[in-house]
Amino acid sequence: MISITRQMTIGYALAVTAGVAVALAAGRWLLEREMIGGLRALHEIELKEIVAGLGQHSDELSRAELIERMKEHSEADADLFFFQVHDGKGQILFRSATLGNAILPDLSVGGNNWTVDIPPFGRVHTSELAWGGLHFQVASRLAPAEKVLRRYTQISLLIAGIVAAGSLGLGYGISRLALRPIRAIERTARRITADNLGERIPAPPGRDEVAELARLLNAMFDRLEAAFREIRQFSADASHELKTPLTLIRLNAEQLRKLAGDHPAMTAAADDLLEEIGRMNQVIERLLFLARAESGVLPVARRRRDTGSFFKELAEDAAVLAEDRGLRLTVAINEPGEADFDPGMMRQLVFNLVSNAVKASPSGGTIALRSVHPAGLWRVEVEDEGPGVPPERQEQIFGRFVQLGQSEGATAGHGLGLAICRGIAHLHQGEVTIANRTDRAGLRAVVELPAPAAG
Amino acid sequence: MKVLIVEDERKLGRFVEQALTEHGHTVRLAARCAEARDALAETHYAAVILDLGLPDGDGLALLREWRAAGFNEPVLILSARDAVQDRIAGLNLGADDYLPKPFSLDELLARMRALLRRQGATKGTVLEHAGVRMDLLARTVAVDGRPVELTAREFALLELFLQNRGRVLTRTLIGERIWEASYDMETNLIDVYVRRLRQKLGATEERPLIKTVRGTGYQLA
Repeated sequence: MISITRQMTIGYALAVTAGVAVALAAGRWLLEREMIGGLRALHEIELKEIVAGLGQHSDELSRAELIERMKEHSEADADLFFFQVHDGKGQILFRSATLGNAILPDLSVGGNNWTVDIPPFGRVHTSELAWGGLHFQVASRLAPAEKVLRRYTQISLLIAGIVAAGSLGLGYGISRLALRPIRAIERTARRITADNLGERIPAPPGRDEVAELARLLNAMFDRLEAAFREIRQFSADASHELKTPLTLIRLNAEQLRKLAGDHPAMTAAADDLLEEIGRMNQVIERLLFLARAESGVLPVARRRRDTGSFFKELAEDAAVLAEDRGLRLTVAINEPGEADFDPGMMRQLVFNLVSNAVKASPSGGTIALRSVHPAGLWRVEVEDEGPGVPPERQEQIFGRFVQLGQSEGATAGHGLGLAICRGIAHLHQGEVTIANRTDRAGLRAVVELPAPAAG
Repeated sequence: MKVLIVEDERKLGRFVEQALTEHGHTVRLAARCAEARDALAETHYAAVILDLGLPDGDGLALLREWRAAGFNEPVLILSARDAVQDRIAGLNLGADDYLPKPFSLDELLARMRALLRRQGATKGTVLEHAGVRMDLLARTVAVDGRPVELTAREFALLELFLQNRGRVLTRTLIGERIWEASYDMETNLIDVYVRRLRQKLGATEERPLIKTVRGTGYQLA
């Protein structure tokens, strides 16, 4: 993607430079025309002067006389002009001495003016006047004019260069200035997340396109904020409505337990009650967490962090969990790298997966952890040696309250673990999937989060 | 001591009122913000137990109001809102403690005791309890003079218990402090760590050191 600033700068610079270049080229063309035109006028005067000096009729003039007159004339203006006279049959009667061996072209074929290259004089412009059967030619070297034009071209190129550089700078400045309100909008819009939805884009004054855009976005944020507030309110209300009675149940259960005294059956019943209340509270919290995560109102402390040290620490805790059940936990690979994540949530996610792996593992089994950084990703894998999951159920078990009836003796979960894993992965614009291992029996859970490109 | 309870759930308020009365406190129960405001304007209370979700307003607003007016006594927030940011907001506004619902009465009483004693956390560099000695600077732990090797996690966990002796620490709170978990931990990781800690500290049936409070959490005994 090329930024609009750059597009505008380049466009502006191209337009300005091209405009100036065209103007300079037109100037050069006009200058050249003007110079040749001036030369031609001079030639005309010169030719008229020559003819006027020759008398009334050509037949009265002897050849010798003509040559004599021409010689005088040509010597007087030798610095400026070449002269040549020829008769109707192309016979050259006179050539000025300065011409040396060169011959001016016969123009009788077309027109009265001609520019031709005559070595060693370079380009020469010739004008002709026919008078009484004779053709008088006056010619000038174009070298001085060409020198002026060359100089003009050099200066023009210099000017074009300066204009190109200047217009780049100016174009950049103008586009920055023009886009400043847009950038302000972008910055604010970027800053507005679930945590500070009350913030608004400062609306620029006036009724231009930018102000309209700001107003439009602000109206959108208003609606978004209202929707988020509703979800938050619902979550708070649900929490309050569910937990307040639960507190009362719990306080009563505690009182029952005290009153039970030494009665073993009553004590056990009260303990069961307390335990179930605890579990129910967990379910409520998890459901509320899921509701908030899925509607995006959950604040995520997502920052760029080192995955290596995070994963190392995580693996130590995971190893403690595995050891407790007589299992082995190995870190197959922990590649260095970075990713944007909330450590509390990611720990939760991986613990859930490890916890599932621990439950599924046969005694003495090994759980393998991996943290790798393929291009643009951070991938965490948890592998166990359990029975795996039938392919047709691999997507289904991410649903709520879905459990695999495989846990023998182990306390059954709520069937919310994987749903929460997926919720956390989605909050990080990532995904969590499971698949059976191909190398042996067992399940491989894979978490993938987008990671900043290396370097 | 005089304690003000602001709780809109009547039965729940009565429960707490009764328990505190049994423990020798004089209790006034307010069910609404307006009522609570009046109560505090009339007389002085040594502590306030404040529910956040009230029918005519937000407990947090009430707390802000009181703190701005110079009310300096301890305030314990009771709330069904479990979001971490609510907890942080409450503590930032000057609450001294935060107890999420559903709570245990023992826990509430223990916290009230702690608040009224105003003991605060021990800021010394050496923590001692029942033969367990923790040096925070040298980062060493000894039981009856015999050094014990702890991992960083175990050390942090023991420190949390020693800093909060007598208090029931819920799994949620432990998870938050030690694992930065933003809500309860799915795994039994905390239980496993407590078990390891007990083993390393040489806890026995007679001297459990860290007591399990059923359905709630743990408590340093």
